[in-house]
Amino acid sequence: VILSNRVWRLGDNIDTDQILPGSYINLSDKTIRASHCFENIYPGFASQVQPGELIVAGMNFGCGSSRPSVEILQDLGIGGVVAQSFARIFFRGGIARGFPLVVCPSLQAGDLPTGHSISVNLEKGTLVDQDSGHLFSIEPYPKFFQEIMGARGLINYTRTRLDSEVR
Amino acid sequence: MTLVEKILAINAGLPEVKPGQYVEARVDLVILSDVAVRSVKAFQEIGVKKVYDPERIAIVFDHNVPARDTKTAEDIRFLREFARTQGIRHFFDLPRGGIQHLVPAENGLIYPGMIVIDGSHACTDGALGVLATGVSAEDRAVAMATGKLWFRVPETLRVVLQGKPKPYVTGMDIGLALLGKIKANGAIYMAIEFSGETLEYLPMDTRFTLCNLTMEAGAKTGIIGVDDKTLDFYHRLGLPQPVEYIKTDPESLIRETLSLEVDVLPLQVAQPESPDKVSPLEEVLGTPLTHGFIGYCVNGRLSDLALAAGVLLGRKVNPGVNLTITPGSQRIFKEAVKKGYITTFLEAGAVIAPPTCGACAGIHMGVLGPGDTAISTTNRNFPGRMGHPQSRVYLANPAVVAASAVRGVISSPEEVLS
Repeated sequence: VILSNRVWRLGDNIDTDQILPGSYINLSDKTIRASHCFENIYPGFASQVQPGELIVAGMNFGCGSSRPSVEILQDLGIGGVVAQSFARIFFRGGIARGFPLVVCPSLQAGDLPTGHSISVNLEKGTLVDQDSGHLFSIEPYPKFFQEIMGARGLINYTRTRLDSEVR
Repeated sequence: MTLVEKILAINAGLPEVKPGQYVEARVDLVILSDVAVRSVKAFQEIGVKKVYDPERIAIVFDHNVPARDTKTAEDIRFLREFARTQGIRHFFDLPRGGIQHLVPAENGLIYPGMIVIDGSHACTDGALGVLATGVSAEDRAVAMATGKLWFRVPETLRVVLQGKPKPYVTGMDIGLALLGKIKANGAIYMAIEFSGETLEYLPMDTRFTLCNLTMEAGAKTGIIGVDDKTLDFYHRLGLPQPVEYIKTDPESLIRETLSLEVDVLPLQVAQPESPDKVSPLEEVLGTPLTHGFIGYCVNGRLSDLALAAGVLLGRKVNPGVNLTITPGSQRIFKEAVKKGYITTFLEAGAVIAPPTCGACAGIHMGVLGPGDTAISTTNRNFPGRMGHPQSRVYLANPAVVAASAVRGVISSPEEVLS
């Protein structure tokens, strides 16, 4: 998996209520629902972010309730999230939905500010800030994560696997 | 190996596992609540007709029941139909069930050494020596279809609890003190294994409370090894007792360890707006309140209700406070009736709610409005968790909430009982 795009920078402990405030959970129109993403911490984010752009955050991204959160970011067309660490249920949800989540333990508060462009190679475990030239090491995906990503999510991956076991 | 490492090794069919390793392991129980419609739809997308093993699935309705609107009534019908067509016998609608973090264990579905997956507070059942952990909706779908799931072997944080707790100090205070110490990200991806002398003084009910709170530190699970109290839990419920069970290896004791001096621990409270913003109760005494909540998955067991009843017996809830008491399950509700606790609560002027997540999740049956201030025995007090973003929630044990409801301001049980 290779990601290359412009980033939007957020801080530590971004919880699932900030990804989507609870009061909008039951909106059935996915576009309208996603338009409220980060509205309390980053007004204007949802209307300005372009498809494929990446989020960079500090530690514990996606903490809190296990409500649908990854799909909100996917509905906005975001390409993936780089964080110092992720809350584990959110991380599982990302892998399950084939949404790239990049763990970059050495990330500091001032690194990768909004507007910088980065390039990420999840097989090699590298992340480059193309504006500053700084190189970061990231946790590479184990082989089966890469296979799940290749299948665009755990549901497709499991379907293919069960099909091949039957044959 | 630690308890969680042993469970993962056995369920993955491996002689040994190490922290950081990824394994595919057998899942012994998948728990679905009435908000798990997404899991079932994802299961249907996989395209298999039948679940892998209907005996390894439990469905417990506890969030939007009794149905709060037509949308949730539709969800409930959808899941009831899924249970019927798949032959899922462990199906607990509200009249025969209660909250998902209590009902499967009290019906004999959870035994030491199992891997149990559920929503975020699955870790509650770690008190029975199981690896009980929250996963995504898609993960539960895959486990229903294949009986297996991928896991990362977690690092284990050993928490050694030292000494005998002071009067009125429960697993809630110990859990809050731990959150205050290690903070909301203090145990991300980790298993927290409890040990130490204090466990001898902690009955099962409050061990569940302690394990429930580990989620708020980001942990994969909290876990306590099997001892006489664990065996007694099954005995009291009339269930077969576990015969063989795993024990932690002595050499794993040298891993990362943290000590908590429980013997000197005062009553604790988490202040708005995070469960890790913890201080001794003393620092917030006198804070005016509009609401009190006792029960739920965190503190809704019989001895929790007994603590509250001990404070409320012969006393009245302050007229400025609405006190809502939610037993954790129908079984516990009935026992509380027999013990006279429910009469005590009604005479004191409290409202009794059916055993659901209701007010704790800010869904129904006691949602807070702007300017409301509550004290609650639940586990989360993020902005808006229990209602309006401008409501404020303090977290504390059942005796503290009962005492505070009587006086109308945050109070200690000693102030009320003396």
